[in-house]
Amino acid sequence: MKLLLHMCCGPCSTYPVQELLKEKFAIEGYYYNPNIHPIEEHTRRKENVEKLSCLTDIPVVYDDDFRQDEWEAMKDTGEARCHRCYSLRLEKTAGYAAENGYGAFTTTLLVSPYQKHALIKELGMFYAEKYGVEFVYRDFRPGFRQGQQMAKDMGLYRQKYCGCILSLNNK
Amino acid sequence: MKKLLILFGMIFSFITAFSAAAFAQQPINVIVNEKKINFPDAQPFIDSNNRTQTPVKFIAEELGADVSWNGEEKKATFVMGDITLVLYIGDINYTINGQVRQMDTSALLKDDRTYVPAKYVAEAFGAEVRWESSSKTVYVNMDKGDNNDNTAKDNDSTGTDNPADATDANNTEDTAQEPEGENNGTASGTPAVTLKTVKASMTYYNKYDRVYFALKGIKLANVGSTVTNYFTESYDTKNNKYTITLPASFPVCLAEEVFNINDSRVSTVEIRRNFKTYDTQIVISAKKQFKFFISYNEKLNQSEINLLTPAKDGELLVVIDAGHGGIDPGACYSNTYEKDLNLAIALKLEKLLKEKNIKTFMLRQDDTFVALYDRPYIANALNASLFISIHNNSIDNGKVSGTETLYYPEKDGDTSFTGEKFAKIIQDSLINKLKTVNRKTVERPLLVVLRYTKMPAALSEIGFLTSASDLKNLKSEAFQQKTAEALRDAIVKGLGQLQAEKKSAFAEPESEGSTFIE
Repeated sequence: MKLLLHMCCGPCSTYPVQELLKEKFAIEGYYYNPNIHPIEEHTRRKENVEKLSCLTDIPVVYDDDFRQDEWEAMKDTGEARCHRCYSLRLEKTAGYAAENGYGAFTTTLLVSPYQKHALIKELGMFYAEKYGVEFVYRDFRPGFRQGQQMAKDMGLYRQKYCGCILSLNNK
Repeated sequence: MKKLLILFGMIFSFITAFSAAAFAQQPINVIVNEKKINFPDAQPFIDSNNRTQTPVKFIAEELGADVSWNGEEKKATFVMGDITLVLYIGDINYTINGQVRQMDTSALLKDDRTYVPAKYVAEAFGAEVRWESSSKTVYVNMDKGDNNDNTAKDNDSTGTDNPADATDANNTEDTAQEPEGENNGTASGTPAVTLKTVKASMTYYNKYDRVYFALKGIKLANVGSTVTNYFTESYDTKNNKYTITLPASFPVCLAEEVFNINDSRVSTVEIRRNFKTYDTQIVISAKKQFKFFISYNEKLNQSEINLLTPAKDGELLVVIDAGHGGIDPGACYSNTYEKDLNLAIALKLEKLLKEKNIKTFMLRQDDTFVALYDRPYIANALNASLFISIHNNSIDNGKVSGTETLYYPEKDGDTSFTGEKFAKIIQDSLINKLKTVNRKTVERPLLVVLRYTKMPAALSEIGFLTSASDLKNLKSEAFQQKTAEALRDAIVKGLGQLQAEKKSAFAEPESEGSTFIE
């Protein structure tokens, strides 16, 4: 089945790509992370996804939408903010998958033990229903360290903060 | 031009250089084995990649490593026990016991001082490195016992926790050491490890003596007074298959592709990936055996894979080096470029030697830029008998004119045929034939083409572009022809001496005989 894999960054994509290939999915990547701030960081993560795409021979669609002002103005904190961040990505990915004939979608965010895993799963299911495509939920977290090692072997840049301007300031 | 141009259409990424280094507001403390290091003048700082940079000398001393610095190559070598660590200024690649690795920053020059990233140096020698952001302190602990695995630890943080806080430092380029000669491209500024994706192309040059593939935008090796390869190579001599392997961490990713060449030398060049390790291989399937030499041409930002056919033992081969070329014009005076005069004479010499059935190899046969170190290294790989470099002079004084020949000085009492002896023969021959002002032979031990050639080598400066009479001569076909004839005569003489030496070496049983060229 053709699966659209939302890629948050290169390092987080390594392990999920490996596992999904084992399951015989035909993967294509989707880079849509408009609230990775500042723009240099957004670009750097994108370049690392490009390298991963080249090394693994997985095609990736890039959407360069970038919104920093919106996030700087945001009053939400904690889970409410993360909710908006995940929703933004998952809705866009589900929508793109539906429009372009992918049978399913998922996200590399599911590999990180630092993310709100249950919330990602919940939102993935929600947008799957809304757009009529399958959400392939997998708990990739046991492979997080392995994935980070793969990233290291590939010479990928491994960031030290989650991504948005608030996470950067709070670090 | 039968230059076969292959567009690779491949995506690759490379490292861009940023000149701004970032400083933390507070000074940084470095504690090695619970002892605080005192930095009397140059202070450690946080670079733009969030890594702690420390003056090279102190970190080495505290760790107990010997450090040596090669200014020409901008290379720092650390030795402790059986571990050798080599870092280059401005290069993210480094080696531990010859194995290439990568860091996410690089050593750098700032205010004439060499700084190295503490983390990578310390970890190379098995130390543990920890960053405490509250006190801005780097802790280096050498007593980690058997933990010598510098790939195992994951959460490396010798950087600041808040890069947004850091302020831009002044540009350090102006005060960086000015390198001599060719390789000055990577030295400036502090490279941030930023991957870029651009299109690259491979060009195959197969028209002339020098046959090579040029791979744009990729640095496969660092070529200077020593050569460091950023790849591993293997050669299946039975099938004439030469394989270059780039590790997954290599900053450039080449797309898989097969190029059908099918000339008399090469069938295909194949770029393929190992999907287990994500290593990339460049496989050259040749039709005969070659000696491969891979260099990096800094000025053209391309790696060059040379396919060389060395002279067989006992076979005589003369390498002709027409000085300068391409983007490097050499001396320029009244619309005349030195590179053109050098080439005109070299081509005439080549023809004359061929008429005498003497085998030649032209380092360039047209207006091509050949990297400086490639000239001696290619000659060495070719197992050449003699090396002649053709140049012309210029000076800030129109009255100066004449011919001189440069050489690398031989050891006292060396009776073998050396570059110094070769230079004398050449100089005599040139003066006899050209009747120019005799500026004699000149010792020049630092010239790259003389210093790194393993065979007798000499460099002739035929005349001065800045002298009206010399320039008039140099531009005339007849004078160029006479110059070539004088050089040919000297080369014939030189080859004769080499052969005589070889004969006498065979006559004396205690002599090995095979090293007569060296």
